[in-house]
Amino acid sequence: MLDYINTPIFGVGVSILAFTISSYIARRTKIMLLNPLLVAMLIIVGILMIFDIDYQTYNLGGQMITFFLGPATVVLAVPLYKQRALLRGNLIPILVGIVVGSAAGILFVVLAGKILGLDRLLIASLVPRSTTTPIAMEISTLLDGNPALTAIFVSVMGISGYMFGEKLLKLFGVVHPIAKGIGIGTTSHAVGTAKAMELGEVEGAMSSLAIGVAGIVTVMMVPGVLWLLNII
Amino acid sequence: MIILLLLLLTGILPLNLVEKISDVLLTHLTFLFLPTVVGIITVAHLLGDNLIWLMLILGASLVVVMVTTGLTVQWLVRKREGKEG
Repeated sequence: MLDYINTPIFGVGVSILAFTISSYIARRTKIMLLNPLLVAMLIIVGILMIFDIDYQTYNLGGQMITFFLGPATVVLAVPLYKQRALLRGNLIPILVGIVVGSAAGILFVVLAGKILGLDRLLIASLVPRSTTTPIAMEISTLLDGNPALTAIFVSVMGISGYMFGEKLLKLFGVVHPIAKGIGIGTTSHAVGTAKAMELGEVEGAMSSLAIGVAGIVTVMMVPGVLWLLNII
Repeated sequence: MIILLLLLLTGILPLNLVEKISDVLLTHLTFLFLPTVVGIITVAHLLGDNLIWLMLILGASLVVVMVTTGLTVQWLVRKREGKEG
């Protein structure tokens, strides 16, 4: 039994098991807080702690699952391609929305961080939190932030967007599928897009699109953010 | 993603070659994030004393970005649709 723990079989097996259980719980209870990703994470963290197994051991199998994120990100182009007519017809609203949303988010975290008296390092690490991890870590470095911290913030934005995005949009009267998809993708990158895919094909395609565009838009805002960080 | 999109748009790569595998991958997209999310616990100590403030800022920024983006897009899309219809 113990021998299996040091092979990839353990990480893959425990992930599938935890996700199957958490998906079952989510389907049966329909409670928003018990979303499959979060519950599966807690199950795995619990198992690792109880049996005193370290993350590296789990990740022998875990990284085999993570590997497929690469190709999965590439094939996000497929739903986007299928919705290309919709994209072409609404190009300006989509671009304006992503620029406005990204800028509002960056202004908010810089000002809120300043008001709460956080270090410049923390504030700089917060700025790219809504972009996809590789882009976010790069921006964090450019702003003299800490890329590892940024990676945590990116994950938090992804999971919270996955959990609350749908409710939040509904609460504020955002019902148009294009607007929902772009909102989720701009805020919560690929993890949010997993939720957008569940909502519908249009939402999923728009969310996929927003990941890339929000990343590029945020990179272009870097000089402005540096200036802002220096004057306040 | 952008290269695949260009290949599809130019017709070099027909959709049916990639459609099946893309469906399989995207159906299980949430599951693929699981090991990465579990990995957060290994770096959580970096957050230190500011944990609560940071979570508050992240939570509030989620609302700010999601709502401003969503409402802006919805307003502009509807304005456009109104003009055409």
